[in-house]
Order: sequence, then structure tokens, then C-alpha cells
Amino acid sequence: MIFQINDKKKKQTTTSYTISKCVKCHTTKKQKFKKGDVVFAKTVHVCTSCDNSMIIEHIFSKELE
Amino acid sequence: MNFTNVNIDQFFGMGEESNPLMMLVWILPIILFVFYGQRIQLYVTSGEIKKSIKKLNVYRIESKDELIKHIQDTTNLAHDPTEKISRFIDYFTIIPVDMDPAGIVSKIKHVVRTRDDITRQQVQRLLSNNPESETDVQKVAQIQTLLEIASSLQMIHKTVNHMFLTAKKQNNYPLILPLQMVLPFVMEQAESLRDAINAFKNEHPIGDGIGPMVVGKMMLDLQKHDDIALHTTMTRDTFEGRKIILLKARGPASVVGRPADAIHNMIQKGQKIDIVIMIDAALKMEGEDTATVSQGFGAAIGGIGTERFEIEEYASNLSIPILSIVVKQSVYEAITPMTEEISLQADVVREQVYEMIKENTSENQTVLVIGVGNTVGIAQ
Repeated sequence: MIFQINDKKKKQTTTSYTISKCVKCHTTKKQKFKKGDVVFAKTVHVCTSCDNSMIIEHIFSKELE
Repeated sequence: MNFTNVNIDQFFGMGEESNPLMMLVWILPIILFVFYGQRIQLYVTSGEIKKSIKKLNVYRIESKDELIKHIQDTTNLAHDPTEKISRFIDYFTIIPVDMDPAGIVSKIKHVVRTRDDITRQQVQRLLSNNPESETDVQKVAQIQTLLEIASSLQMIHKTVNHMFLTAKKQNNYPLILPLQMVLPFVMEQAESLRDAINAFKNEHPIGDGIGPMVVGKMMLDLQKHDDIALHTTMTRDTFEGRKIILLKARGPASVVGRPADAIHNMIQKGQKIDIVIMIDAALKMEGEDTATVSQGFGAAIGGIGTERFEIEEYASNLSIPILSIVVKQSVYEAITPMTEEISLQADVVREQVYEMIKENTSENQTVLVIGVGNTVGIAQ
């Protein structure tokens, strides 16, 4: 509404992601963060391109639009 | 415009033809504000402060409940930990007398360490009562951090409530002014602590973990030595003819390590250090962008100040230059889940560390690189 003035901060919803990277071909994979994910730990998944192991590069939270 | 023909009596509604009721409309508020102005202000301000105290009380109760629920869910304790946890949360720390400041740092360090060590031992004991529970470092550190959060929220609520009730009791408006001024900052801190609970419960990296994240990657696939200091891990590497010592808190537990003790132990063992590079999260100023990377001089390490004091002491005694790289962020961002902007700066900072080593050292020199901060959710 045009005339509505809302000074209060909107509560932002965030979601967390885990970014894994293949140790060989550097292919990255983004998935939702789950408890137990640790930065620089090997993931249980293997790279879809070259079947090598993947390592978690980043874990971060992002605001939802 | 002519101002000379203004009739004062008419202006204030006191003329012969004026209505006495209209006169009261002017006079009454003036009398009211002269005698009761402060009380009215106190009443208006009280309403706002009461709302904030209500919020603080909710945060306090929630943090305690979440901690107890977390302990019950993850440890399968046979007994109810509520009583013990309530006692731990109520712990206070008396900071040493500073009338004669000489030697106060070691006294503060002693008091803070005592609290830290005894709380850890008590949490360990609480968990080991159940033979099935895993009393590993990670779990103890996690519960200890959640305990610190609950304890801080309890203390914030108590202090704000005390200041408010004292002002109300004395009907003293000036007494409530300092509280009104600091309350937005206090609320920001309290909201950050409340939102930090989920990060620590899920072992999600926090903004403060950028330093350990930079050094953690440099440590990958290298031989680690965990005995350098409590919760602190060390690795040796080489880079373009320079010897590099990498130091960070041992992840992925929620710990910050003891870098000053680590440096002390290295020096005791005869380790030569030519330069120290510290990487940490730093508080951004209003108007600065989050995740801005800055370089500077001096020890980049927060906390109560004892670690920084000791690092500066060793460095100045041995004439070791200290350089630092910081990633700017707000109080909220520092203790809540790490944001994408901050996380993506890890590679930029790592490049800057190597550049700094090349520019400020020569071959065969030894560089100590310290990743400062809480390493929750970050391994090495």
C-alpha cells in the first residue's frame, strides 16, 4: 500500500547453504546446510563429473528474497 | 508586517471579552509541564523501556530452555539438569581491583581462566554422569558456549531491570536517561546473542570464524600438532623459501584456542619468529560495507584483552613486527551464522596473507600466521 509507513525492521528469513568442491576437477555443488556439515571436511557424496571426493569449501547463510 | 499593534491580553486569551476556559487551555499545560514534566517524560520513557525488558526476559527464558532441551536431546541424561544449569547460568565474575593497576592483567587472566576451566570441568562432569553420553571436546565446548550465551542474556536482563526499577522507585527521570541512551545498543547485543543460539546448536560457522577459516584451508593435508596450547592446533609449512607456522583454534568445536599460550610455548622451546600475521574479524564502523578487508599493524584479537596484552608483550620484547588483516562486520554478523559475503572473502584474505609474507619477509625467515576467532563448524 502506497501510504503505509512501516518503520519497524522486517524480520528477514535466512537459509543456510553448504558449498562442496571436487578436489580434482573443482566442480562445485550447492546444497542446503544440514547439521554435521563442517568446513574443510570431506562430503559423503562424490563428484558427479569425475567420481572424486568432494570437500566442503563454504557454509553460509543467505537472506531469502 | 506590523508587529507593534499586538495585544498581549488578546494573544493569551486574557482580554475582557475572552473566555476563561480558553485561558485555562493555555495556562494549565504550562503549570502541568513545569511541575510534572519530568514525571510525564519518565512515564513515556518507562513504557518503551518496559517493552525492551519484556523482550530481554523472553530471550533469557528462551536461551535457558533451549540449552536444557539441547542437553536432554543430545546426551540422554538420567537426571534433570535444570537445577545445575540454573546454578551455572547464575555464576558471576568479580574483576580484580584496579586501584593499583600494575600487574592487573595477570590477575584478570587468572580470574577469567578459573571461570572458564571450572565451568568446562563442571559441564564435563554433568555429561559424564551418564555412561552413554560422549563427553568429547566438541560437545562440552558447544554446551559451554550455549551456557555463556544464556548467562550473558541473564546478566543483561538483570542489569537493565535493576537500572529501570531504581529510577522508577526514586521517581528520578535523570536516572533513566543513561539507560534510555544505551538501550538500543544493549538490545542489538541481546538480539545477536539470541540469534547465535541456533548457529551454535547446529555447529554452523559464525562471522567471527573468518580467521580460522583462512588458516584452516592453509592447514589442509599438513601434519597437525594439537598439544601447543589448550584447544589450539599448529602446523608447519613452507612458502617460497620461508618457514610458515600456522596457528588456529582446534575445530570444528566452538572454541577460540589460546594463541598467547601457544606463542609462549613456542618461544620457550626456542622457536624463532621473525614476523606475526594475525587474521581476525573486526567491528565495522557505521557506513562501512560488510566483509571489507583491511590490512594494518598490531595484534588483531578481541576478548577481554589479556591475550592481546601477552602477544604484544612477547612481540615487543623480541622486536617481532605484528601485521594484521581484518574482515569488517557488525556485532550481529560476528556471532550469528556466517554470511555469503564474509565467507567468500576467505580466498581474498588468503591471497593477501601470501602477498604479505612475500613483501615483508626474506627467504629462510619464519612467519607465524594466526587465525583468530571462534572456529565452530570449521575444521583444518
